[in-house]
Amino acid sequence: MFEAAVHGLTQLMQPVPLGWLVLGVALGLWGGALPGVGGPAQLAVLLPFAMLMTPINAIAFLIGVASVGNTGNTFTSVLVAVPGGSGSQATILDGYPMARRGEAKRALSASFMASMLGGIIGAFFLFASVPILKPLIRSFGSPELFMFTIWGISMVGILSAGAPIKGLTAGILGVLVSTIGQDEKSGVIRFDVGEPYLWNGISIVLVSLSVFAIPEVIAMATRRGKVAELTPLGETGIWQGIKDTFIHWKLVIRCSLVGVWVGILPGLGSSVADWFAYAHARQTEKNPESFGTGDVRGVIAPESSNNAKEGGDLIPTLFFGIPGGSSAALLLIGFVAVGLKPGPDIINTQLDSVFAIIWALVLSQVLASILCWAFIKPAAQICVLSFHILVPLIVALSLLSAFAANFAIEDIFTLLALSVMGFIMKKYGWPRAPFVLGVILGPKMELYLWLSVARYDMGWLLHPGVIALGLLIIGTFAYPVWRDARARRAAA
Amino acid sequence: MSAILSGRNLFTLFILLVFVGALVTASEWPLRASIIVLVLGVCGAGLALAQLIVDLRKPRTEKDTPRPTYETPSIETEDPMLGARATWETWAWLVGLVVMVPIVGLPVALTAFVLLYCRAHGGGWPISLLLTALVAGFIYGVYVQIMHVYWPSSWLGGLLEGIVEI
Amino acid sequence: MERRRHFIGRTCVRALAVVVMAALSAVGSAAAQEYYKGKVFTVVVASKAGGGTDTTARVVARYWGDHIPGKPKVVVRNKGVQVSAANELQHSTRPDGLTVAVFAGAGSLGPVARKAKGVRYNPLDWGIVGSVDRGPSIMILRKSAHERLYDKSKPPVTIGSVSTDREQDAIAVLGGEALGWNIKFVLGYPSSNQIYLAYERGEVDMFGSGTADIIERFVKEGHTIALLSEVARPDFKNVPTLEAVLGNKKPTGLLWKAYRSWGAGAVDKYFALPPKSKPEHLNTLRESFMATMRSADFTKAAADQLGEGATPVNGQETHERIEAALHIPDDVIATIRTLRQKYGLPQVTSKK
Repeated sequence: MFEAAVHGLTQLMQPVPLGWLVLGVALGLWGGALPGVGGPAQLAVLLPFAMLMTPINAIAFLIGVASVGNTGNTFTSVLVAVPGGSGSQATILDGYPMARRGEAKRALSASFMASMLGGIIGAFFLFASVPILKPLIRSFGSPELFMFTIWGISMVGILSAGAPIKGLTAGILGVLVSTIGQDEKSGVIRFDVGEPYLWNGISIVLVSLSVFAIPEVIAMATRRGKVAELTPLGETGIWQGIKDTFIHWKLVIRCSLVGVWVGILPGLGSSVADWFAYAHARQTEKNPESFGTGDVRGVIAPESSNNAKEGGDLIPTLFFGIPGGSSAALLLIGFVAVGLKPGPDIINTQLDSVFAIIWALVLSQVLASILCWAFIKPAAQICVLSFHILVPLIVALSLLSAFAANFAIEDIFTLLALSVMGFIMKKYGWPRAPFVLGVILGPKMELYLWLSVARYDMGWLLHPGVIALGLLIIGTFAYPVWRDARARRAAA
Repeated sequence: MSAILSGRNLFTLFILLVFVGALVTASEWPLRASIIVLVLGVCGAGLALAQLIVDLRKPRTEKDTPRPTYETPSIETEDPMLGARATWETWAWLVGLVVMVPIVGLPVALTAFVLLYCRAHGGGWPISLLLTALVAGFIYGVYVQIMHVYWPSSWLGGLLEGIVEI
Repeated sequence: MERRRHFIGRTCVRALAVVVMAALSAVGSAAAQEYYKGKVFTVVVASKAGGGTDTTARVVARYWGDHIPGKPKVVVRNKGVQVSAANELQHSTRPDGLTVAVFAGAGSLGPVARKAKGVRYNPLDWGIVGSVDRGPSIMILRKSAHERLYDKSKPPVTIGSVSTDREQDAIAVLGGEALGWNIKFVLGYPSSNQIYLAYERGEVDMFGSGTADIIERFVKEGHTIALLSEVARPDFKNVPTLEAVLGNKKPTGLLWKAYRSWGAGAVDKYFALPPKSKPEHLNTLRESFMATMRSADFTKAAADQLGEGATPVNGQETHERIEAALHIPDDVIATIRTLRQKYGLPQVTSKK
C-alpha cells in the first residue's frame, strides 16, 4: 500500500499532470465563483476534453475542477449573497452579514482556511478507508447494493425541505428517464418513440446541463443588469480569518466528519453537507444566538463540511462504482473513459490511481485556498460581470458540451426539451437534484434489483444487510415526521 | 376552475400521466425489462397523485412549496412583469438558437447568437465583437484544432454545396 | 524461344504491376499520411469499461496510432453494450475512416445469426479491419458447489454472465443438456469484472473466462476448480477439455450443431469501420492493424493482458469468418432459440 501511495504521488508530481491540476483548480474556482456555472454544469462542459487525456492527467484535471468549486463559490455567497453553487448556501447566513460589516476579507479568509482543512480531512478519510474497504465491499451483494441506491434516492427526496413528495417523485422520474434505450438484459428497446437516436439512452451530461445550467441562465437573463452589486471588501482580516479557523479547530473537524458522512451516502450533495454542518454547529456550539448575524463559526462550519464531502463522495464512487452526487457521477464517467475501473476491484487493480486521486484532492485544496487568498480582489470582480456577457457564454458552452457528449446534433434538441422540464421544475418548486440523481442511480438500481431477483427470487428481502438498510430507509422516512411532530408539540 | 388548471397543477398532472403511460407501456415487456419501471412507476404514480391532491387542496393564493434545500436561491428580478417578459424573451432566444443549429450549423449559430445576444442586451460593439471572437476562437481552438470534431452538415451548407456543384 | 519471350514478357508485366502497385501503395500511403496526420482516431468499444472487449480494444489502441500513416492521436471511448451499441453505431458513426468500432463476436453476431428481432444492424455492411482471438474459455467452478452440479435435488449451481451472448453460455447449456448439470443463469452483470466480484462474494458459483490471469488467480486461491476447457490450452494442460468431459455423452445432431454455431464461435473481438467507409481507409487500417499485431510492444502487452493464446486475424479472414458465422441453418437457429428460452437467456427481441 505504501508503494502504491508513493507511486500515485510520483505520477502526479510530474510537470504535465501538475499543470493540468493547476488549470483544473483555476477553472474549478472560476466556475465556482460564477453563479450557475460551477459544480456539475462545469464538469459536464469540461468532461469531453478530459476524456482525451491520459489517465493521470485526467485525474489531475478532473479532481482539480471538481474538488474546489465549493472554495470558489464562497466569493459570491459572502460578497453578494448569491451562492456560486449549491454548496455555499448556508455560508450566506453569516458570511454576508460579515461582509456588510466590512469583514468580507475575514469571512473569505476563514472560509478558505476551513475549506482547505476540510478538504484535507476528507482526503484523509478516503485514504483511511482503503484497508477496511475490502471486507466491507465483500459484504455488499446485489441486494444490499440495491437497497443502498434506494436509500440514496430516499435521502435526497425526503431531505428536500418542504417538498419531500416532490423530491421522491422527481427521483423516481429520473430513474424512469434512465430506462430510455435498449435494455441489455432482454433486448427490449424502451421508450424510444421510434427514434434510433434514443436506443443508447440519454446522456447524463445532457440531463445535468439541462437541469442545472440552462435554468440558471434563464434566471440570470431574467434578472438583467449586473449579477449583483459588489459589497466593498474590508481592508484587513485575512490573518484574523485564518486565526478564527484554528481557534475553532474542533468545529472544523466535527463539521468535516459531517461532510465525509454526507459524501459517503450516495445521492447526497454539497448543499446537504453545508446545511447539516451549519445545523450541527448551531445545535452544539455555545452562544448559538449569534449565528445568522455575522458569526465566523457560521462560515467555518459549512465551508469545512462541503469540501470534506468531496473526499467522502469519492468513497462510494471509487469503491462501489456508485456516485454520491451529480459531480461524482460525471467524475465517474470521466474516470471510466480514461481507463479507470471504479468498483470494488479497484483496490486490487488500480490502487496507485486511487492514491493519485487522494493526492490530487489534497493538492487541489491547498492550491485552491492559496489562489483564493492571492486573488480575492480580482476574482471578486467576476461576480459582477453583466448578464449580457455571462448568458451567451454559458449558453455557448452548454450547447458545445451537449454536442460533444455524443457529437450528435439531436443532443441539442434534447437539451432544449429537457431544459424546459428543468425550468418548470425550478418554477414549481420540484427539486432538481433528486431528478438528476435518479437518472444517475437508475441503471444501478435496475441492475441490482434484477440481479437480486434473478439470483435469490424473493429470498433477498430476508438478507440481514437488506433488513438493516430497509430499517435505515424507514428511519429516513420516519425521522422528518417524528421531528416535525416533536417541533409541533414543543411549539404547543 | 382556473385554480385547478394552474401551471403548477398541470405540471404535476403531466408527471402523473408520464408514470401512467410508462406503466402501461412497460406492462407489454418481459419482467426483466419492466421490473424497475413497474416497481418504481407504481410508487411514482402514487406519489404524483398524492402531490396533485395536495396541490388541488392548497388555496391558489398560498405560496408555492418553499424552495427545496437543494436549490440555488433564485437570482431573478423582483419585478414579476419584467421577469415574465424577460423569461419568455430568453426562451425565444434559446429556441431561435436551437432552430438555427441545423440550418446554419452549430459553430455559426453559436457565434451569431453570442454576437446578437450581447449586442441586443446592451453590450457595445467592441465587447460584443470581443466576446464573439472569444467564443469563435474557443470553438476553433478546442473543437477544430484539438478535438478535430466532425461537424454535421447544415441545411444551408448542403444547399451551398449543391449550388457550387451545379 | 517463343516460351522465353513469353516468359520475359510475363516477367516484365509482373514487374510493371509490382512497380505500379508499389507506386499506388506509396501514393496511397502518402495520401493516408496526409489524411490521418494531426487527426484524432477514435476507437469506440461496444462494451463497458473493464471487460474483455474493452481490454482488447485498449491494448490494440495503445500501439495502433504508431502504425497508422500520419500517426493520429488514438482515443478510446465506451459506448453501450454490443447489440444496442451496434444498433446505434450503424446509423450514427461517421464513415470518415477516423472512427472504428470494436465488438465481441458472440455478443454482436449471435443475435444477428439467429435473426433476433431487436437487431437493427448488419455486420456485413461494416468494413472489417481485423480481429484478435484470445485463448479458449475455461469454466471456473467453486469447489463446494461441485456436488450440486450433478444433484438436481439440491439448489442449482448459479452461473454468472453478462446480458449479451457469450460462448461460455453455450458450454454451460451443453453441460446442462448433455451432462444433466444442475444450473441456473444469473445474467445481467455489466462486465466480466462484476461477475468475478459476484463470484468472490458467493453470489454466483460458476463462470467462464478465457483470460489466463483471471483463471490462475481464482484457481490459486484454492477453493476453485477449473472444470473444463473449451478446447485444449497449452497454458492449462491439466484442465480437461469439453470433449473429454463429455466422453460418450457427446451429443450429435442439432444440439451439437447449436453449440458449434452459438455466438459466432470462430470470431472473437473484431474491429470494424462503419458502413459506407471508403476502401482506401479500410486498406490503410487493415495494414496498420496487422503491423500493430506484429510489433514487439503489442505482442508483449497482449501476452500480459490477453493471455499467451491471443492471436491476430487479418481483416479479410475475419470478414469470411463473420460471413460463415451468420449463415446458420434454420433448424439450428430454432434449437438455439429454444435452448435460450429454456435457460432464461435473453432473446434480444422488441416484444415479449
